[in-house]
Amino acid sequence: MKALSSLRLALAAMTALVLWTAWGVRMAFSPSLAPLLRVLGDGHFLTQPSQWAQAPALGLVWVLGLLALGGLLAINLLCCSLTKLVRNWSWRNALLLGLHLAVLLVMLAHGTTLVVGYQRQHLRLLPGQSLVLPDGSALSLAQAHLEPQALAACLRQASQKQTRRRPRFPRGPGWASVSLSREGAELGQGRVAFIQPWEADGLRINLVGYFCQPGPEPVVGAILNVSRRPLAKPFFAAYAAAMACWLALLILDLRRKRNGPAQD
Amino acid sequence: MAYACALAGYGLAALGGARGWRGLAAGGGGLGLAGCLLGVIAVAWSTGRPAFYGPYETVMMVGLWLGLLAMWDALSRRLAVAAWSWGLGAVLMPWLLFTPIKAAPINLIPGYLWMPLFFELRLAAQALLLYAAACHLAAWRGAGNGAAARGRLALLGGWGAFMAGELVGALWSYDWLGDFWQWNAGFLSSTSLLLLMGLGLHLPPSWAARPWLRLVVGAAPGVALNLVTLSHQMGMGS
Repeated sequence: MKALSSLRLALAAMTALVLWTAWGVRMAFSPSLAPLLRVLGDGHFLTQPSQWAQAPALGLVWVLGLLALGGLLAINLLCCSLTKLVRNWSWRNALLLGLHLAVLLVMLAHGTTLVVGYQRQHLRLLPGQSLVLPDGSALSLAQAHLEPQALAACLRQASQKQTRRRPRFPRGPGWASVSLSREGAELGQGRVAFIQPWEADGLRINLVGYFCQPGPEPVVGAILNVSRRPLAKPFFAAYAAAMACWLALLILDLRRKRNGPAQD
Repeated sequence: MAYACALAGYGLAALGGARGWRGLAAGGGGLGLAGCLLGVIAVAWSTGRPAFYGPYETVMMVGLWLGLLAMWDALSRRLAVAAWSWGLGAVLMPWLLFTPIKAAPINLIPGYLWMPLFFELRLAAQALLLYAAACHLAAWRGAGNGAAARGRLALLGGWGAFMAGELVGALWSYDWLGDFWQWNAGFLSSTSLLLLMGLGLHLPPSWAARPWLRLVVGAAPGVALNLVTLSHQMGMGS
């Protein structure tokens, strides 16, 4: 327990993670890691070891190393919190304890996304089309609407066979009407726009773009992201708690510094 | 004009602070601060939004925050820390020689606050962490443990501002893309930087007593965050 709660172990784990994640940044666009990052984003990678055999070896080493180092840091965080901070009671340590436990919850919520819930990105649907999601729900697009100016640009690019660049910060020139069903029973229907997702049955539907099919009667399709993140609310709550503890700690330290020399 | 004032002002202030010429330091610091303020106001005036994105706005905003902290130090008779802050501000300015000096061509999403707030918190973190670097540099050059303690507080402040930015960024990502985390280079880079900031806050007391080690872990986050942000934004702009 003493070794696991050591500050030196925390430093070693954090240093290793800094280097490991920096290595991941370097590899993020490489064939070794890019496909794995996409699979990790979709979810279920850890629960389906059959996918591991198809993954590039270097990328797999990186993912497993990241999980091992993250796990080590989480264990160290928990042990340190439950021994050193609990044993030496003070208001400052109570805030530090709250901050550390909240950060631990944030880390756990991140880790949980690898096994619970899923995400599917850039699903292209034309009006009338539908697709089946991993949990059996069917997502359908009833209609996609683009404002005239944006529609003209979309059609011009489609006719020139250009790849439409994703807008850096989309400003919402239209909307899409979608519906969700399961085994023939409709679960709901709603409208999505940029930054205005629609939620039903624990699923979140986001409109992230459009595509156009030129012709005598041009058709506008929607590009959608679908996600099921049951731990999103606890994640944000833990994050907010961490920030509240940090703010209180900063105020406490500033007051202590004003009243006397701060301790390093 | 604003940029020239900021560049010359912080350069002169750093020189004055290093030599102990208080008049030159205060005048230069004031000129640099006025230049950054003018730049930020010009961006708001021409675009109708606050300055928050792109190399020019980033440098002007970080310069503004850093200049305010340095001026506060100078007025509190902590000229060594102020001189290093101005010096780092002066080092930051020449980045704009390699990029057009103008506001970024982006607009706010009407009524949507998470996006600009994310960038503003990042800018605050950049400035606070550079200030932490200045404090640690001053402590290393003999300004004492008081400067190191200020550096640690600034590091804690910068860590929190960055973390708050990450929270706001997660909310933005959740609204925009449907998930609070994305497996890509940007999110991994943020995690790396957050952990780098954490190193300086977890030094064992015996290690913190070594000035060179305290300098490395105290200054690295500010340097790294500013380098990563500016090189990313300049790469995007090209």
